[in-house]
Amino acid sequence: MNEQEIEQILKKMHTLQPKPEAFGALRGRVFGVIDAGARPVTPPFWSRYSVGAYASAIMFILILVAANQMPMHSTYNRSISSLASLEQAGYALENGTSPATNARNLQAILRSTRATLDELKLKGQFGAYSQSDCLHAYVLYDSYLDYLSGYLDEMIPMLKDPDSAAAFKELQAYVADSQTEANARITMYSPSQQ
Amino acid sequence: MDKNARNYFEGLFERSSKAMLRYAALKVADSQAAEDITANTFLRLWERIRAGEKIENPRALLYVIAHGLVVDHYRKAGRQKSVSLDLFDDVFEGETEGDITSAINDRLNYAAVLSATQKLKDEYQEVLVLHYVQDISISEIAEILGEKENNVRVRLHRALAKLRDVLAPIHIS
Repeated sequence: MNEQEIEQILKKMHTLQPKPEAFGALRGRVFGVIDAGARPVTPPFWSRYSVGAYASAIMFILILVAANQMPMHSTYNRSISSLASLEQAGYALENGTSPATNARNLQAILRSTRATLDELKLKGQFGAYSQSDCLHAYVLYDSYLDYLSGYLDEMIPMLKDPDSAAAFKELQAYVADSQTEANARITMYSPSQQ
Repeated sequence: MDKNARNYFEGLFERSSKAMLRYAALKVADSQAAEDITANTFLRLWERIRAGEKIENPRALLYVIAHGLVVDHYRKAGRQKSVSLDLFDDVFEGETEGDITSAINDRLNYAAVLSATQKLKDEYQEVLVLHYVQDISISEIAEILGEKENNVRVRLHRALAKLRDVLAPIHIS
């Protein structure tokens, strides 16, 4: 490339326009902080990932675990497919056009994931899964709930629509309850408890 | 909250936020870090407006703050990032004119030039991005950098020459 071509390319970059969703996220974040009267903060590391991307990472780890360490039992497969639904619902929560509906959908999928994971406990007791497999699954699930909880804490103050705020708060309460249960399971499956 | 200060800030945000997001995205080549830097840039400006500080040239101040945050970002990250084509899909709208081949070629050219820019010293990168990409005049760049206009002109000339050396083996598509 010569200087003229380089200049031309650099100048053309001036036409790059941020996507409306990137601009919208920025706007929501800046005015959310200003309206809350808070000081600027650097978000915690986990908030650098989207709800969907985080679920996707957990799902990937679960698949690796399933492929390498465990026989492919149907309950475990269903846990994975629940997490796949979580991934989609997570993306919809952040990027969809109806935050209230998306929050309710995510809550419904969380209920199904929780019920499926609950079966792990039963099957664990009857020997289909080892205690450490159950522990592993719950630790991953709990880390997702932790992430989701942080995301909701950050998002809720920014929601202006009352219906969306109510749906997000309901989801937040459900996540908190699920965290309590997941922590109890982790304690139960921890080696020190065996 | 002072309503006038809020209205003044909102006007600044509407006028400058897209340009600042583009600046940060092209400087750090990471969509999330760009959002963090742009949000913190505006929030720091807001703190100063709220404190009643008289700001002569808010756009220049935005670039001063953003540049400081970019430098901090690289200090923490420890190294320059490579430019991924995903950056353009993550942050920027697709091309609305021309065919898809030319749109892809544009993005390849942007990535090549940006990657080469990141190999230059920060002082060279800064003048190239501010002048060509952000379309800021030499006099305003001088104000942002706290330098004389002549120095900025010389630096821009050298930066372009260095960029040409890096990119010489690459043929434009």
